[in-house]
Amino acid sequence: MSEIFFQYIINGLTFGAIYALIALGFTVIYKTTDIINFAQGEFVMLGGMLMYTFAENCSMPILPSFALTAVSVCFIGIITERLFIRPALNASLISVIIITIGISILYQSAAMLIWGKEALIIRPFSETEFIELSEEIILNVQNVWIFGITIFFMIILHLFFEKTITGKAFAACSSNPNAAALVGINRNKMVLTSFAVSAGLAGIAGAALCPLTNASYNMGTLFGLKGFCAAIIGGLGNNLGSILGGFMLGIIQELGAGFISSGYKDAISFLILIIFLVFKPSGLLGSKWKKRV
Amino acid sequence: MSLYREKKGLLFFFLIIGLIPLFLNKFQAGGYYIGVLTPIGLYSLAAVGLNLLIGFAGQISLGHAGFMSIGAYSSVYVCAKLGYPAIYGIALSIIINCILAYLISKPILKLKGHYLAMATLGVGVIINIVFREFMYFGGGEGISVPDLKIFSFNFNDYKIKEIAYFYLAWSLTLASLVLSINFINSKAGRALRALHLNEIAAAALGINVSSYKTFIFVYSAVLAGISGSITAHYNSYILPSTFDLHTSIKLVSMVILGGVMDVKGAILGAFIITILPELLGKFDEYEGLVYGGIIIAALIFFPNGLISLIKKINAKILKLFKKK
Repeated sequence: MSEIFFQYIINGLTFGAIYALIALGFTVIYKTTDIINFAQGEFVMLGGMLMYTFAENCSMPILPSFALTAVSVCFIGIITERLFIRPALNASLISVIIITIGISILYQSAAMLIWGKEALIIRPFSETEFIELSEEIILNVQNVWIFGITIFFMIILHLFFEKTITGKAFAACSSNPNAAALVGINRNKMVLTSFAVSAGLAGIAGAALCPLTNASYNMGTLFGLKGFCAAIIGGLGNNLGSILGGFMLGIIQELGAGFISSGYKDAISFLILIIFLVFKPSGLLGSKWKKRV
Repeated sequence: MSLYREKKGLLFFFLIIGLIPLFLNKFQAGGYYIGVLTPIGLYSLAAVGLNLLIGFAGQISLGHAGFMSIGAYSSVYVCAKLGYPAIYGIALSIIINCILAYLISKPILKLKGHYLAMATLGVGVIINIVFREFMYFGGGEGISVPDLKIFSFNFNDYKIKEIAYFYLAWSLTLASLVLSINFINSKAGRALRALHLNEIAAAALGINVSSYKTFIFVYSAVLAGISGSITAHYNSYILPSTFDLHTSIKLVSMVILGGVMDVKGAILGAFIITILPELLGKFDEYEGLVYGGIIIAALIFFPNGLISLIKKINAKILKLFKKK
């Protein structure tokens, strides 16, 4: 019993790490633009697909293909912002939601055309695939990789926000866009950077995850939605909250799938989301809701 | 536009729609075209309710396919499992959706913007998963639906099926449209418009904000349910995936693409979104690419929906006539 429990926790932490990365991406965009990017999940998918292209098609070593993937997805994020988001920055909330859903449909079908409908297998990051911790518990090394990579990039992101001028400009832009513009911060540039950063995070998540789950063109939507769930559970707009929300969602989902029913796995995540929205819409760490008159 | 003129224009539009089958029947491929127009009517029915919710109550719902599936499965339950006439199935769908939408709306409509979008999306996904996992209704494999019979008149009779469903769908849409337009121009409708412009100001003027929002939510859920019931009978077979997240998104896209400030926009949107894949059938694999591209382009260039474009063209034509 306790071994199974431990196994679920490991899986939960792995998926939680992925959700946390995606949720961080949501938060970064949300803070600068008030936009929720429903195409976020597609960047995860593109991360997985590009990882396949670099690591399997071009048979490059893991590290350079991982770096190339991250940079390419960043670049796709930049193109997305320039082409689709900037012309619609001042549109109504629901129009922007539908536009990002349109982007999601667009990327999904583009990926289907390029990489086909089959699930693509990517080799694990290290040669030894499994470690036996005890007789019952077998640890997949990829889980460790995912966890480590997530923590590493979280620290990088934290340093970026706290130590660099661009990061501080971000904070200024999200707390008061007009005042930020007055002191010479270019909002458009910030929005562009936020899309690059957020796409990059999602791409990293996809590249790290896909050796475990395989990559397919339609995997993105659900990951995007779960990441958004995690962002809301943690408190929309709060970085630490997104991380906490991601891990919480991952663990509860895996435990629920294990002990209740795997068919209801996704229903459990959305149920948690609704419970949070009804009883504590500000999330775990979010600031109190204020009604503006 | 005055109420009288609006209704006159509407009657004219539906007269044309009503005459379409008479003309099309003369052609070889007439059945195909009617077969495309019927789903448009059914989607319009659900979209009209959603239009009221989004455009006039200012609320978002990304979960209305859930209500459609409840409609569909109540029809299945009553007709296939209990063996009662189809009309009871539709009645059950209305009752269940009323109760469910009312119960859901209480906590959920307090939310706003992205939170509301995500909550309704969650409700839709959960309903979908429950039907997928619930083996009593065939689970993910789907279940067949008995014919739609109203007083010994069988809509599914193969000789008249397309025509019968065509008139059924479009007359229901017309009814819902007239009902909605009357509602918009009533006291409640004015209150709703005030609510859309500024909720707090509306509340300060003594408008009971939450009860109006709830009413519209329930109304739109019931319309979606009826649409789902008839879709089930029309298709003779339903799968949970017929009413998944994509359907919810499709419905919202119809409303937004058509234009939210006019109920007729919902019908225009339903036309475009349903016909697009049919036209794109020739593009085959590029379907999603073109489909996504058109949604994005339409919203970037016509943020008020395509109905605003039609109104502009209409006004220009009228001007031309007046000059002469």
